[in-house]
Amino acid sequence: MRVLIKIAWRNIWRNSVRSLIIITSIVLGLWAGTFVSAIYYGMGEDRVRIAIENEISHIQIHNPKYKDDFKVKYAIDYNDTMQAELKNTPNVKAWSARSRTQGMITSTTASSGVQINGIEPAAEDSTTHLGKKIIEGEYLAPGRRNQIIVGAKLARRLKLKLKSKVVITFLDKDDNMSSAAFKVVGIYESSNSTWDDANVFVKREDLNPLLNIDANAAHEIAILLNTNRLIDTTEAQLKKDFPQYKVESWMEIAPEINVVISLMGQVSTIFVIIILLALSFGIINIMLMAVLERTREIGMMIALGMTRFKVFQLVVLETFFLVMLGSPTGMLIAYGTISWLSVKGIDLSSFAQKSMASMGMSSVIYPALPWASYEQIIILVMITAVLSAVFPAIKALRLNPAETIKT
Amino acid sequence: MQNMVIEATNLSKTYNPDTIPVKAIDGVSLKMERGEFAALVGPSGSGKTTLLNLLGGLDKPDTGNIIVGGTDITQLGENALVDFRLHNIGFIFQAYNLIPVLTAKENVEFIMLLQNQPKAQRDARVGALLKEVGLEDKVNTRPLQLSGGQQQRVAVARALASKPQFVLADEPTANLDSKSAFNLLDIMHKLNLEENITFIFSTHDQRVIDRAQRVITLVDGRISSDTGIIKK
Repeated sequence: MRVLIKIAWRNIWRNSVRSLIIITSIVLGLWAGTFVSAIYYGMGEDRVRIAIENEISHIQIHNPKYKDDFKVKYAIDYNDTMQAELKNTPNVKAWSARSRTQGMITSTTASSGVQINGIEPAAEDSTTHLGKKIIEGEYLAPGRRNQIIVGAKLARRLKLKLKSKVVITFLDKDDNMSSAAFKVVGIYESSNSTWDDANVFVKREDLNPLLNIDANAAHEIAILLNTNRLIDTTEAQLKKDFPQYKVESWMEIAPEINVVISLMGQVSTIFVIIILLALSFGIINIMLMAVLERTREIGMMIALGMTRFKVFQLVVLETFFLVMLGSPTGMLIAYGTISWLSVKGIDLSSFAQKSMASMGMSSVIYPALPWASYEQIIILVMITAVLSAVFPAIKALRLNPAETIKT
Repeated sequence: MQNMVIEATNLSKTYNPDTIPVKAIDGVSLKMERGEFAALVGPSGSGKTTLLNLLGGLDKPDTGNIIVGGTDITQLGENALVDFRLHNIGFIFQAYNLIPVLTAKENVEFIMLLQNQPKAQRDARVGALLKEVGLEDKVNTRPLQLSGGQQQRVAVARALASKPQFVLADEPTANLDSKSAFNLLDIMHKLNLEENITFIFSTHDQRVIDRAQRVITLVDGRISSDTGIIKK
């Protein structure tokens, strides 16, 4: 085997320009494939982060019947005991109790269907950083009644400004029509313009009486954890603590986000496979040339007593060396690029801010790739190397030594 | 009979049997003893190379048998034949056919590596052979840095490396100048005597024919004359 390795290694440097060209294309191809995968993965991670930090949080608690038809009457008794238990649950960073209903918001010029969220401003800010998303006006302040904050997109549609009066109309606990006037005190903008268009926030203490529910009642407890890794254990703990309620993680609440992430992963894998497929044709071409211009030499080796299996091994080794020279370099450059941009970010705000926001994504992409993906790419590269070697190797195997030596 | 290295009986070989048949070898029978230094001569197209290929197991005859050291090589399968060649037959080609990426030493060692011979044994044999062919100072030189004569001497050393039963040489001096050709013949003859290895070489070269112990002449695929061993 050592002699095969020696011959294979030296053979790839017989035509160093040709070998360097294919090595360079492997480097560039792998860099591109890995980098694009990292962009997709980073976008997916970003979508999850935005969904968790701004919209869903890690875990939510509801009345078991609430999500069947979102009736106001199916509320949670958010009493002192529950608050104390949440406070004592390990890994819980913050939580927000929300009263919630669907209704209409009407300005002087237009109206729109929205989700009306009754919140405790401080708790909501700790959980979803809503206060930091205020771009105009101020956050909900204690004391003053019937304040409302609306999303920037909705404000534009309804031509709302600060201090504009709006009327929100909805059904109360007993399905009676209820409405009240609110004053716009703030306009917020998150990374998800669709979300901004559909959600308005008022204080829970203002909304609950209008819904005709207890002051302690809430429809949703959104819980933010210290880290994503603790979702399963904390979810299990909360299910144990609140058996009367439905406790769900973000993956159960918003399965579509998981689908999007999984789809992005699949798309990036397909992209890498396409790149490797294109590369493999380049490698096959180079190796075929290498075999065809060495028919006499290979025939001579067979004549001297080298088995055809060893000839096969020789061609596979040469291909493997070519690929393995390019792959680590490509992966290393990709790793460097990804590491650098994972901190610096790729800012698309100048030309894609609106479209990214409409998909619930930030306009600054931070590429990232887990080790498992690097391993997957390395395995795909190795498979490519072996498969690319097969056709040229078969060509070499079919050589007739008596014929080739004569040439 | 123990001294008999090759016994070929009634060999025939036809190329393109289905289109334009070319009878390259037609009913050739041949016996060769250990230590012979024989020339295979004849005009172009007389079947010299085909006969060498058949004797070397590189091609299969349509009819007939070739028994080498008691083994009928026409009955061997592909892998067994490759293994047989590796251990029993040495080859010297007209165009040298060294492996260009290996040094002179590595080229000679190549066959012994395929045979998995231990390093000490390889080193001793390669060193001795390169000295025999006068290339002890070119051990680490690659073929392209050697002259044609030097390359062919490396090829001779390689052919003998595994101590084969016989060496087949197809026009070994065809690409060499007179001086190099004589030099090569001297070396081949010396090794033939020292190692008692049978040499069979095809040639047009009268200088080579004059050195041969036995001259077998082929015409139209048949042996037209065989001098037998005329010199010792």
